[in-house]
Amino acid sequence: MIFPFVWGISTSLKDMREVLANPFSIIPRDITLINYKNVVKSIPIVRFFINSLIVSVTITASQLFTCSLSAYAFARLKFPFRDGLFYILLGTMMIPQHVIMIPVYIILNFFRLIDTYAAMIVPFISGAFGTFLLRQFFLTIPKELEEAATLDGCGHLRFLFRIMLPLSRPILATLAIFTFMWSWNNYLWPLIVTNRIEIRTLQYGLAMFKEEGGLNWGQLMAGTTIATVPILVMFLVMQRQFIQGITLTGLREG
Amino acid sequence: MSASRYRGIEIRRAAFFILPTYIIIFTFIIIPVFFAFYLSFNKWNLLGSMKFTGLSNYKKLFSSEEFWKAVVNTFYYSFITVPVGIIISLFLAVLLNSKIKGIQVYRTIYFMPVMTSVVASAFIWQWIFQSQNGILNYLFGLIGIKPLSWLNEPRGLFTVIFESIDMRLPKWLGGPSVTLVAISIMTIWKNTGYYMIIFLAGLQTIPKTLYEAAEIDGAGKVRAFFAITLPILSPTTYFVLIMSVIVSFQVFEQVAVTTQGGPLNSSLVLVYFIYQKAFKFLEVGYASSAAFILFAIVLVLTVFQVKLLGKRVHY
Repeated sequence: MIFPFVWGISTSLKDMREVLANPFSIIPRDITLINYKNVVKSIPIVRFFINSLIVSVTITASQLFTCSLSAYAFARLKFPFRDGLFYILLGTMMIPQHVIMIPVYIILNFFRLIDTYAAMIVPFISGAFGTFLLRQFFLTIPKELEEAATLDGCGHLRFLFRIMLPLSRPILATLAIFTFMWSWNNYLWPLIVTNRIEIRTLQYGLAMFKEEGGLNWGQLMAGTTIATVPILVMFLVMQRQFIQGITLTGLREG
Repeated sequence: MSASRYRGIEIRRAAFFILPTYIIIFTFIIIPVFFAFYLSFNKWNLLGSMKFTGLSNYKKLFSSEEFWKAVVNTFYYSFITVPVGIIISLFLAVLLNSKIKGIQVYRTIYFMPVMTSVVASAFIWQWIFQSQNGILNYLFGLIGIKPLSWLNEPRGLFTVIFESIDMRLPKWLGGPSVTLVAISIMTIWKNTGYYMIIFLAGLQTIPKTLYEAAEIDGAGKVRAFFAITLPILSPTTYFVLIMSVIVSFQVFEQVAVTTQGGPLNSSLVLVYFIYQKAFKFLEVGYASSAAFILFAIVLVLTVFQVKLLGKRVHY
């Protein structure tokens, strides 16, 4: 299970001669960072890294915000067609991405957003899944809290931000982690809607350079390591929320 | 239902709260679904004017050899990744469940591939699968197996196996191409940890006393697994089965990064077919019709599983 990782990292730390040498060695004879130096020098990997960060952080932050609002409305407010609207929302979760990718591309093109950060971000700044997840959690928070707050003259918005959200930290963390992971690892969407090198994300950027034959195996493994480490670190730090999120919801990234 | 049941201020507040989410959902999911459906009856290259052509896209699909190749490959891929993935993840979950010590460490290790992007894992596996300097062929060499060009071998797996003992198989018995099998191995490695976590959660709800009772009755570990674990776990297995079938039919990134459907379309899968038609050849109407066929296949398979297995699942 772990062998491919070990092998990848090991390759990234070998010089070119040793990468292609037979027989294979798991622990490099001379550990070298030359591949990391070269990959940073020969492709704009730092730029890709920053782009990935811009896209993923923006998507995650806006998902948390917009989904909290709509989840609160569904959990606490009374308004006409509430259930109908909620079912429509749930229904959209069953629509596969490949069915809508062409029209979404056309819509973004219509707004002249192709080849911009916005094309990678805007379609994902809110979602049915986040709304559903947060609503389920909000429903478990006792109503009495709200009644007490209303008596104190606290409006819905203030109540949501001052009381509900701080109480919902674990589920917000779960949503944040999964959204971040999904956008960080996403390859299909940036591939479809962007072209310029300057705005490519890590996944897409690396894939392009490999396709164009711009990297050797040692460098490619170095690049792969750079692209993977942030997510793995995040996982190690927040493992509990991760596992909880999966077992609670059975959720899965696209 | 009269409007007087609601307080005006609350309606306005609710509208304000759900507006951002609904703008996104409508613009980027609901309108596109209908648009895609309409597109599938039209011929359009994104630039000129759209032309309504009725069912001709669908007709063209059904007579396209390439499309059928993609359908067959996607089914092969599903037939490999789903059962093998379920068996391995269930096996690992049972193994982990029996030794609670160090469970954290193992769980972390098995979950790491799930966190890794498809692009990154595809790179690592491509390096492992390399025909010239890859470690897999090297290890095969040590036990006397001829090197394979894993990701560049259009011949069927069975054809290759039987050829190595000098037997010829008819073409239709060749099985999935070696390349498709290699891509499946990659996927199984990547997804196993995820399903394992779900199985593990299911396993932890089974009371230990059941196993103790079985032991007193003289049932061995294997017997206990089939008599206790499997039946109680069936809702979980059912859930994992449905999920993994849906996911398997949407395979794209592995193929896009490693083989682009080749060699000779031997790893061409449906979503890659759609992507290629839409964004390489700009046949967006044609691609949309393929997308709806895929949607229909997944829907039918899901309903079929729910109807067939739903009743048998032990809750």
